[in-house]
Amino acid sequence: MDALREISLAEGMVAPSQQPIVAFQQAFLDNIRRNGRLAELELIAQFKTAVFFRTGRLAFLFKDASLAPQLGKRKKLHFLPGKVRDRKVVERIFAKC
Amino acid sequence: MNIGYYPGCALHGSSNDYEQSLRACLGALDVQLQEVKDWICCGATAAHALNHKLSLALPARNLALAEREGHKQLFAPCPLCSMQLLKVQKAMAGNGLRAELSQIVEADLRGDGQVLNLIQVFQTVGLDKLKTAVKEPLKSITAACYYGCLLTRPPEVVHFDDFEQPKSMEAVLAALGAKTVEWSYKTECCGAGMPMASEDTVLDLAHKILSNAAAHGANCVVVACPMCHVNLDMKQAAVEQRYNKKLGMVIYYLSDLVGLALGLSAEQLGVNRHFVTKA
Repeated sequence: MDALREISLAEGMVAPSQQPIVAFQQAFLDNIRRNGRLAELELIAQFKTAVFFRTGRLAFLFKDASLAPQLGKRKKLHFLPGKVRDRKVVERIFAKC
Repeated sequence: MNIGYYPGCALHGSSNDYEQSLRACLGALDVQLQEVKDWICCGATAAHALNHKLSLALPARNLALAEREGHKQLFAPCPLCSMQLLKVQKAMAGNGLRAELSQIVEADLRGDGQVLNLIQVFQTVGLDKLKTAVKEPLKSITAACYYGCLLTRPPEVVHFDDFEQPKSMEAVLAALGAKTVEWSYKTECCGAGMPMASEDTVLDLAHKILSNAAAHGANCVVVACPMCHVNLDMKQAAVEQRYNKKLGMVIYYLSDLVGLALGLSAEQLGVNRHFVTKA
């Protein structure tokens, strides 16, 4: 199944309805390549921007924004997430894969 | 008891209530968590969907770090992280990937450590010991134990419990004096990491899971996965709105219920930080 996903992506065969999922996964990997660990707020910003530029859906940028204060109230928002100390090794792992 | 600990990104992010819960609960059971230094993301669904080699290399780096620190047991409370670590061990066994992965992650890999999920940590502590440590039997709890996809699957990778009809979580709850229900969705998918990328999918699946738990008489759902908790707890208001139905189903981490039975408070465990809380 994963092999079929990789092939469909490489050959540009991803169905339009599945584009947001691919955009999310690409943003996720970009994020951990930079940080070593996931920076959630950065991921959300990058993902929403990518979907906006692919689809032009302005409303998507602000969807779920109302959750932010609720997450903040529960101490679940991290504006300065922890980063991996040795991020160069993460970059080299990505480069070798 | 000391065990290696790989928290994974979710527990250091918006699922930090899960980490609070298990640190409090396991601390009360005298289990000391030794966090692997400078661990990295396991790649999660994104890596295994987009880049197979990367999906092995990222968790392999964490296994190597844990081995270097001398951990014979490595606790990964997120079932996706746990499965990814086990997948690397399986891939290394016998097909020559050990040398290649060691070269990629710049550390020698053995792949001989034991990777544990949360239920296995309680099993390692011992359910008899757990039972004798209970101070507040959970008489008011009638739980639907929800395993989701990855605690028991793929069975050839995780080798844990019956992959279609698991019972290990029910055994933990029985030791706490709680009741459990038989229901139909205990190993169905909740939509995992897709609440933003495919919200319709998550809401549909969460609606089915929560409705089925309620229909079988459960007054709460118990999970051992950060993403299952997000989709059933944080997204529950959106499910109620979409399907015009009041659910009000409290979603506990398994460590919440163990901790409550041990006499810890909801505040100590972070239960008060959930979205759906008892009225």
